[in-house]
Amino acid sequence: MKLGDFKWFRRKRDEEAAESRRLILEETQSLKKLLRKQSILIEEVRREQEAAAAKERTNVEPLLDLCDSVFHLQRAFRSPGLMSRQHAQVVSMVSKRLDLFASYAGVEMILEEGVPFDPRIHEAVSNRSPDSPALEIFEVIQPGYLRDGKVLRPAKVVVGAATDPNPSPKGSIAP
Amino acid sequence: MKSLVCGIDLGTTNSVIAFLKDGYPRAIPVEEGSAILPSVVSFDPGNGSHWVGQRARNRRAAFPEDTVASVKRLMGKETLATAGQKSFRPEEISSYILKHLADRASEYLGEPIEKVVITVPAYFDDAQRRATIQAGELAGLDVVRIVNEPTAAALVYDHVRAETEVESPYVLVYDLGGGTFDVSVIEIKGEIKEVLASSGDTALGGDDFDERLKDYLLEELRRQAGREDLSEEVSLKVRLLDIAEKAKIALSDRPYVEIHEVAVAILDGKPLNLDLELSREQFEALTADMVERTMGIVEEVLREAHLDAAEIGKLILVGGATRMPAVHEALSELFDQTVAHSVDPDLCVALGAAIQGGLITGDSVGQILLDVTAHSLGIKTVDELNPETGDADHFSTIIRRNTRIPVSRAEVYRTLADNQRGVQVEVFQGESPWCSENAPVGDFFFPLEPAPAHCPVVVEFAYDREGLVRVCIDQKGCANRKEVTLDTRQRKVAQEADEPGAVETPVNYMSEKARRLAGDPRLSESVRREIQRVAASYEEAIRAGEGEDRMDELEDVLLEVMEQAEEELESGE
Repeated sequence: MKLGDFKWFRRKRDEEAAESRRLILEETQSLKKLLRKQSILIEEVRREQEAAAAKERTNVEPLLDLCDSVFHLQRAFRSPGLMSRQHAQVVSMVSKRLDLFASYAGVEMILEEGVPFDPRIHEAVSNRSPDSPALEIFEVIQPGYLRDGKVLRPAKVVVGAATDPNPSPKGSIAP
Repeated sequence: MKSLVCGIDLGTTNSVIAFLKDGYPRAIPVEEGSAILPSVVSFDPGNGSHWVGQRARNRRAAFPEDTVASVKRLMGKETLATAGQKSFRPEEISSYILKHLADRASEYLGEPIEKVVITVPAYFDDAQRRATIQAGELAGLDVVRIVNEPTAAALVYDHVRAETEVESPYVLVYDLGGGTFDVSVIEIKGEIKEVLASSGDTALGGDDFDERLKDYLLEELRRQAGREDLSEEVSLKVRLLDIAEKAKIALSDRPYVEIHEVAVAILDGKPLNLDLELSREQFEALTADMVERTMGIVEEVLREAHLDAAEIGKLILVGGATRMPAVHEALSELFDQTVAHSVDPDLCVALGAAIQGGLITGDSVGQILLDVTAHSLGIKTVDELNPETGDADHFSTIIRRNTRIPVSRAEVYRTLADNQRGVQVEVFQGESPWCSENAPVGDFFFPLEPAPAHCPVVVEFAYDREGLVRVCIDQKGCANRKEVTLDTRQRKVAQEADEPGAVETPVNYMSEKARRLAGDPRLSESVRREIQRVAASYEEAIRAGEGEDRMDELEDVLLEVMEQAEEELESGE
């Protein structure tokens, strides 16, 4: 091989190497830019999600308070004779409407009595049958709430012995 | 692959697990989306299974014999915890809690958790620390380090972007949890943090404040019903405790809370309602002795550390009950300085443990940037005259600097004269006690209904991440209310009735981020102006549908200025 050919090869090789370096640099910069944009996008999405979650949390609290109030109103008049049939019907209708409204927000009330005690959704505040291993809900003192299957608040309940192996509800408080 | 070291705050009432992600500590949701796990274990003697956390706590009143809570109090002692027919060493019970936390964290992170840092109170002796390590081992975990709780809390604040440089090496950590109170003084010598003194009260916590308020509500109910014999049966007690807790939380943000609770009890077949207004002042008077008790212990710890209050460089708050303003005020008064409370006080210790875990594995820990108010926000009042000008110039703070946002706070003010026609509400931001030395945010006139002097007027600020303050002013008892939105960045007033959309919405996530940075008061004016200028060109180009090359060029410039801004934020310059 002649010296001229060798120089030509070297120049050619250097030119190609420089071109490769330039391309790599360009690609790296473009990759870096994409990564940067991606991290900004992720950050913005996270912020939006957090803001939406916070909004949901703040929005549902007044609804739960209202559900609580209607529950206690109904509970106060559950004893026979305290309200006329029509009055009881009014309260029951309001309660049903509220329950429907709550369901639009994905909220489900936990207030069934006579069902087995479930520590996921019930918080026992008292036990009327301390020696019994199988307990059911004797009385709901404070309703609980689920939202999209997640427990927002467990229902506060008084528990007692499950006497009937297939207990029927002792009377639903809300619809 | 480098193994992860999680941080665990194994508390008396609640426990939390956290990890370090990209240099930032994060608490892991372990139960129904919550990061806070009650430190309770309940057993089913029938089949030997057990529950941990909220479910165990929910079983406590139903199966008290089978449920163990507050086992931390027994750690390192010979006393056994009994559940049903079986007895357990305290570390065995703790191991169930640790295992539950590690399992949930492992599910969340998608990788096994093998190594942990666990925090313990500063006063724990050797036996108690050894028992904690054993609990970890029983849970199948490698406890790589035991860290003092106040040290962990201080570690978090080491990485929070410093508000002001503090010269003193002494830090006081005030930890008021649900059922216990601890206070420690730490000396920081470079990387080393030494606990100089520590004390506390194992029978004082936020629950006692709820209990005190519940007793007051019961008395109030008896008074309203005219029946001293109204007994505190279970359902009434549960209901009143719930009401008390909600009221306590509400009073941390506002000066009054209205309690309208239907049928809290049934008396002679009739519902007994609780209908009253409670002021923060009343609540603080009811519970003042408990705050004083904690302050007595704080002074005792200072004496033990041979320090004066003035020598403490930083005050750190830990525990949910420290959200009560009375705690902030008592500490600010004793130490004549503001308190560091911007990190969630329920999670702070676990986050510190996660940072310690990261440091052990050689991870770099970033500066924790919190969404906090950069300046205090308040209004001008006539409480004090400026000695230099003789003008009414007092700056009354409503939202303190470094408060986490979004936040809502209210304070009550009183009118000066009978039938006062109105008030000029002047909003400022800054740290000077004089409005003239702070930055004006905006002002507006609020007409008042005729009322005698000293009529209460509640001013509420709701501050969001975008730098907007919604000012709500309410003349109490007169159904007279007004809402105004102020922009702390642009210093302009936008009445509720103003036409929306005066400012065009951001074009995409890039301009959204750029706008937020342009409004960040922690950045220098020149950087903010530059971002604003570049973002405006970028948005204009997008709206005009400019070509790809031009957009690429503008995007590069925008990314560059935003990067510079973030570097400035991180360096704290």
